[in-house]
Amino acid sequence: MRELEVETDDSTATGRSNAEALAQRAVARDPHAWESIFDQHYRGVFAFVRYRLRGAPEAEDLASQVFEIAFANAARFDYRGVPIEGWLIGIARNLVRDHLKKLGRRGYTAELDETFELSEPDAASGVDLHHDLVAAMRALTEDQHEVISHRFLLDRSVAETALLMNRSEDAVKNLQRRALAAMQRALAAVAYPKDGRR
Amino acid sequence: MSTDRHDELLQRSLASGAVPADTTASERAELEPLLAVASAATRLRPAVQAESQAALPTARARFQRYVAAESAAAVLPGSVPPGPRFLGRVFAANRALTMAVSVGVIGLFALLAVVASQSFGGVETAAAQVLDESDYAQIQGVITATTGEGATRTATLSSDFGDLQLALGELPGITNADQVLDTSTLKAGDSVTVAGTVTKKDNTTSVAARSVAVGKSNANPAAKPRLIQLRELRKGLEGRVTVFAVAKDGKAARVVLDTGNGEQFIVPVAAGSLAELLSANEALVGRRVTVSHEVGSPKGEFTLTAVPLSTAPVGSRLGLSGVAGVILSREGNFLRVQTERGPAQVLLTAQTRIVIGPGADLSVERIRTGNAAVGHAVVIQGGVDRTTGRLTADVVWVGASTR
Repeated sequence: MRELEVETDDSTATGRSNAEALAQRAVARDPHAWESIFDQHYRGVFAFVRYRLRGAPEAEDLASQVFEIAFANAARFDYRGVPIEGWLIGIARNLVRDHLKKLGRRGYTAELDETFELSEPDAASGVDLHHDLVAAMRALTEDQHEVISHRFLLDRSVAETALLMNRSEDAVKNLQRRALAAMQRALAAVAYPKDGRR
Repeated sequence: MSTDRHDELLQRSLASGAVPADTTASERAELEPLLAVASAATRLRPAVQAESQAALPTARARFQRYVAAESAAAVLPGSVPPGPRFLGRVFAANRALTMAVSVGVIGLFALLAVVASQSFGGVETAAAQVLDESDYAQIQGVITATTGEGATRTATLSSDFGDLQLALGELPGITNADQVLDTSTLKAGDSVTVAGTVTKKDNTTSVAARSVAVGKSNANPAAKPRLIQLRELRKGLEGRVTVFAVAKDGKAARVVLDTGNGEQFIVPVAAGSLAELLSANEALVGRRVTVSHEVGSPKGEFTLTAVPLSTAPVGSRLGLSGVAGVILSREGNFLRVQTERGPAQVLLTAQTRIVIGPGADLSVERIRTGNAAVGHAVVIQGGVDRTTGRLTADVVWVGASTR
């Protein structure tokens, strides 16, 4: 797993300066800045919402909505050292929450679990594994789910995850352990062996 | 084992891929299943990456359409900040230059004044004199006949200045209040406001329509007004604009002003005063203006000042939008303009008329073919393409550099 790369003071300052400049252009609704933001973060936002939704089309739609909402409300974005990605993830979090509430009100929760399908590019045997893992992730709290998404699905470091979740690194480590333990318990319930293989 | 220690051990295990050697047997027993779950979770990653990659092109196109529509919305009626604040700032720093370059425009208006120096005896002559080949024009009238379908659809427009032929083939639709209707719905008896490019062949004057709005028109073809070329300022001259036209080279901007007492004046418009009028989200036609002559300005060149109306002018139905800002860049046929509401993309076409304002020190050719206008103040009036959200420029007024 990738860990936070230690940047030199110069590269940190440069990165911060670039991010701030991009954020300022984003606030001014500069289309070019937003194209750059979209290309940098769409896949991450997609992956973030994907595991809480039934299929890729829903994830595509919701992730697109995230950027549309962000662009429409660009003037409200206040750059205070928080990356724009954190803002996007916050919008995504709220959208997913609202989406699931609507599904729940319509009685779709069971269907959501049963119809989850994930593209499996290589191993057919992985389908069951995916299904069980996704089902296990549904047992997580929202914070735990977010930590798992950032750390293992999006390959973010503890430090990056802490920044995006506005938590301390210790809190992220604690959430991470609790989340993995909760998933392990859920997987155990479907006779999932401890080595991760059937 | 404390919570903190367990968290740290797990983190070290995840970072190295193995349980650290300094763990106890019970700690190892707790950590190993968690490592296995984490390992399994990471195996989901390629599938999601593949899905997100596959979704990217469609999502990007959707977002680009959204951004374009939102950017255009920033300049739609009611959302554009009034021009004077912006223009005032631009010209405050360039007033001397403004005056100097104004002199260059004078000769052209003087030429127009010579050409159209007499009252016109008949309406056919009037139409010929008011509108020239390749002019961009806004005009009102009443449809008296329609023929053809689709690309060949035409209509006859009876205006204050005689009959004009309207070519409707390239018109995407006509606007009626908030609706966009098919051109086939246009019928005899409709009062319309038209914007387009003038063509002349034999004794027929035509307008290739780019925007047509149906609605109550102030045009009164039966009136046969008396047309007067304005060469000297008439004190208190005020009226409604019935025609606005700009020549192909962006010069000879003029309006026809209906005073309401049977007289209409052809008024050459100072390039400087056009900026203010174009920044509005409505056609010049139908607006009420006063005419003045700035002290020190050359003879035959007049300044128009819009009179606030309690109701929207008839021409507002054309759906024209005004943008005021500074040109940020030129990319192909698109100008990127920084407005007070954010950047806006504007399409220049062969039919776009470019007016060089005071202090610009540019030529239309340089603007059309390069980046010469980047950094210059600009006011643009045109129509928003509802499909792409982009503004297609009818008239572009370029002012002094802001750099």
